[in-house]
Amino acid sequence: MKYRKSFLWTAAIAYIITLLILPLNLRNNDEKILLEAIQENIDAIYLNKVESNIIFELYSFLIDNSKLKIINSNKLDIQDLISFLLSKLEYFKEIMENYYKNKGIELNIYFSDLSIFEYSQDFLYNPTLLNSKNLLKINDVEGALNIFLKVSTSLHKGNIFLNRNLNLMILCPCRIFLLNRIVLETIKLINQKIILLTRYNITDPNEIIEECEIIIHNIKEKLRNTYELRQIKIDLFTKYELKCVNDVYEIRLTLNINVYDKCEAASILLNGKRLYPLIAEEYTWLILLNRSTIEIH
Amino acid sequence: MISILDALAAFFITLIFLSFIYPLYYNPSELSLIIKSNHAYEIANRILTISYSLGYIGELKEKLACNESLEDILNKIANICPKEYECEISIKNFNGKIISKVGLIKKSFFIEQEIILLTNFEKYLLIVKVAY
Repeated sequence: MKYRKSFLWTAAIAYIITLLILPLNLRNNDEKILLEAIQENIDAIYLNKVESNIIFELYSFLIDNSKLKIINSNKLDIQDLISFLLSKLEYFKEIMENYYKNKGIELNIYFSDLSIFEYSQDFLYNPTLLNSKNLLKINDVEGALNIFLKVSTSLHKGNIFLNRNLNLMILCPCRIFLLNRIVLETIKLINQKIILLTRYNITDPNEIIEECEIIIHNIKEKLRNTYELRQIKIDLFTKYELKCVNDVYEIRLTLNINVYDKCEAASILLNGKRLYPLIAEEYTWLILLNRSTIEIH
Repeated sequence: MISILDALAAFFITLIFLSFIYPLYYNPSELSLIIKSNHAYEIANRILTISYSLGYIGELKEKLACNESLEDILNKIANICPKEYECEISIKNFNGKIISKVGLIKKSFFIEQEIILLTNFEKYLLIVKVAY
């Protein structure tokens, strides 16, 4: 009888407590949902940060590596530049994926359709990616590089998924196409002027050398006046070799032309030193003087 | 009549019952912290995004490449932090060595967000800590 009473009282108290706790339990469920929602929001914020980090870094990574490759090779070779950037993109993908996987994120980055061509005003750029400081530095982008890349990112953390496909059009403020044109036009111009020498009646090989020096000096001045304000520096170095074989004078004129893009936005800092992109070419003319007849090869 | 034994039995059974239920309840301070951390994460993200778009990250990378003092540029980044929050900005290499740090967090609760910075030959972590 005594135990039955105890049991009934216990049951009654447990029942009352359950009734009292029920609304608390409902509130507790609300809190649980709220906490889950906040945690998901934090995960989403984190994934957004990772995505921004990838895109912003990719943008500067491609620009810096393009400049680095151009500065190291001193020539315009688009296929070589694409191969170099593809290998660098593999490195970029590895670093990003490994680091963030260690942070508990499933991350996959895919790159495709990398192409490089000359800047055109018709291309649209993402203004958020062109920071204001760089925009101020770029006032002349004729002949600059355009890098196009398709990027797919797939991020997953907890219940949050973030998949995105982006077509990046990146303006690299390195006027390599313009530099290349200046080199080709300069060589063409010098060639035209040297060919004109065949019309003159010159018998002294030293006079030919003097005439060539005047031609090159005048062209150098003309180029300097045209491009100095556009922050393009042109260096012309000449070397003459004179030989006489069977009364025929052989004048070998070697021209080294270096055209630099001296705009700060086009440069890179390497070991504390600022380096500028340049195109370097060497061209040789062989001028044969047989009495008063001049042949150019 | 209810004996003392009845009352004690009921009391202890209730205690056991409550001890099972209690851990299911969220601590209000835990809820408050997680809400604050959500906001702090947003602040840290905003600091990083604004730093990118103002060119501070590019400037920071240039200074890293030249081995120049980073304090000025890290201070510029720290100045983006709203005055109501405490922020600490630091830059580390991938071995975990702190290269430079500005700001100080006095509060015990803070969150941190980091981004990877890639320069021509090195990689670094820029860490933003925010306390509410």
